Amino acid sequence: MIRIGLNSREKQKEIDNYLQTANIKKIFCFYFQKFPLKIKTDIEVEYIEYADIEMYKYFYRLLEEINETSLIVINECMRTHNRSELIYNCAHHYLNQTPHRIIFEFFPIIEDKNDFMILLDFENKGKYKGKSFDYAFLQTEDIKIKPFKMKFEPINVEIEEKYIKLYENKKNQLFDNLGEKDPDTIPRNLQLFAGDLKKKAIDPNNLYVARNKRFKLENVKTYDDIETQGNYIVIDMHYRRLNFNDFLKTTQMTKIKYLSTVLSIDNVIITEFSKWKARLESIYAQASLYK
Amino acid sequence: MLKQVYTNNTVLEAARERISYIFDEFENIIVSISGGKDSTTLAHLTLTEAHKRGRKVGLFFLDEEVVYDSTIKQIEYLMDLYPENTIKLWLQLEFHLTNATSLTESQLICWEAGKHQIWMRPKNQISIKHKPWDVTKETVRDKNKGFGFYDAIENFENSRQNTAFLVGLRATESPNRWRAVSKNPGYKNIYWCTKMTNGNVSFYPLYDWNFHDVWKYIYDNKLRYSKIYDYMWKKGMGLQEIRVSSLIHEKSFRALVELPEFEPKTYDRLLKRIKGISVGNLYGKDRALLRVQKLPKNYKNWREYRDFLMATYPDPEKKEIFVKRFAKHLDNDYVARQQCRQLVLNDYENNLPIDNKPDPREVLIQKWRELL
Repeated sequence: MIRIGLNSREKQKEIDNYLQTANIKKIFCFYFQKFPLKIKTDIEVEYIEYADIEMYKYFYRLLEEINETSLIVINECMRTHNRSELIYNCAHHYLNQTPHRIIFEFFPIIEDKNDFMILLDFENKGKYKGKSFDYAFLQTEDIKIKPFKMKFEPINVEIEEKYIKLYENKKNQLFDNLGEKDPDTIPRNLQLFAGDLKKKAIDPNNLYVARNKRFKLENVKTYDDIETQGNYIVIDMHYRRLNFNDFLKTTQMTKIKYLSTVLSIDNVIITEFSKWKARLESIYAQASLYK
Repeated sequence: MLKQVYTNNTVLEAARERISYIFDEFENIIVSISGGKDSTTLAHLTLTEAHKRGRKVGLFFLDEEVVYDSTIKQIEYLMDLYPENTIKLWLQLEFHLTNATSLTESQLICWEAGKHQIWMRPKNQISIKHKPWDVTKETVRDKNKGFGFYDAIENFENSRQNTAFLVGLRATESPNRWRAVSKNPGYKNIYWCTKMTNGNVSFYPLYDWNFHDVWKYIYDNKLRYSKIYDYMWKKGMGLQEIRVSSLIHEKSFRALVELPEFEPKTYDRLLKRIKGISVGNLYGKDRALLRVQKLPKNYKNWREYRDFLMATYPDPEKKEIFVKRFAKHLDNDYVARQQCRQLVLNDYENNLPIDNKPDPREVLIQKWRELL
């Protein structure tokens, strides 16, 4: 079964319920290191970190040990877009050895709806192999979703005309000197440039998150610094969607305040985030709700 | 698209049944071995059946000379597994091999007469040292290239009649090749085989195995396997990445980077044997050089680098091959990088085909221009 958006307590409850219905002798819990899961039970539990799933020292041993009396718990393991990633394939081999599996993930997608197929592959690889996402799949398996509703709130930061001109120059310069560099470095650099112009809007009474430590302010954290719940105002959006999702997962922020200027990069960021949010909500709208 | 259908049989049971069927149908059976994990498994399964039936099967190894020492040890091990059931078909003959590490010595003639002092190792006592077929009827695919690896195999196969050739081809490893060989039944109603001349048939009893099935078989039966796999694993290579290959071919020259560490003596002998080896060792994993992933500093783009490589290409005959081929391609950096790779690796045979399409990077730049 697939459960989306649950907290630790709810995950524990799902595991407890499952254990009552099946004769499980051992639990194998695969988890991503940033999001560990502690399972309270009398049954033996082995925890295996995401990166170790494909390791030789685990692979053959687990293939021997996992059988129809094992329960596999996959916790927050959707870590790459690539559905054919070796690490996923290794997980499928373990999952093939037992009918008992619970898949927990906070968001149903990383970037687009086809990411959900990664979770369906965990549930039943043979059935979904080669298929693209279809909303009908949300009803064909035991899937329950607890939506994480977010509100996006841009906070306007005024900037002077001269900086708009500087921004345009910077943009042209980035395109002209791109050479062999990754084209995605253009929006990333422009975002840093725009972020610098937002410094004057930083209020010492609020917490902020930025891509790096360039502001040298106590109340401006980087994405790597944040490990617990809290409310942060976003200066720079993380350029990797997965990392920004991790940030939302960790902070549990439901109101995302974003310092925004009139510069085109902020417009792109707001539009892209809104599109992602819409994709997420369309899945929420068509799935069975977790109660 | 290939579709997998699961049955109640394990792949091991199925392979045993297939091999048993081949024994029922064919008097002459030959297993092709390379020293790798797949052919080790196939040879063991076939020899076990031969032993059970008191029959003999041929183990065919076409020795390329320029191979790991561990490969040779593995071949010796397989040849001695069931000596009473084995016909040793270890061929050590002169044939041409592509050398991707040198532009001036683009071909190696392995076991070349008169060069025995620098051969990688002396010929094996038990090996077949002369062509076991009628040389007047010998076929050569490409006369310009000379008698090559596949010519040797083809002529050897054609010299036999009504023989089942067993090959460790697996569909997951090479889906394209699998699709090509399994399109029609090759023998009676069997799809996991290909029909050849003289009543010969090439069978693939392991076609549905995955790499971990192979490793499990080796582990369960306590078989020996090439040490190279362990070295590669210890170096952190992925399970699907590790393979025992030729050392100088355009798809495998990267093996040279690790060779001095894995088998220093083999590397030492190789240095004396063939040109370009030290180049392969130094630059086999260098993104700017043999892997051609990073543009060398002094060029503005891949097109400029390609034009330079073309202008300075040392062999006029082969240059013509590249000129004709590239004329059919799109002129963008994405394609030009792949053309550079062919030129640097001297891939005039087009073994590393070019993905001729608009540059995805340009598409991305265009997207950012529009949005920003």
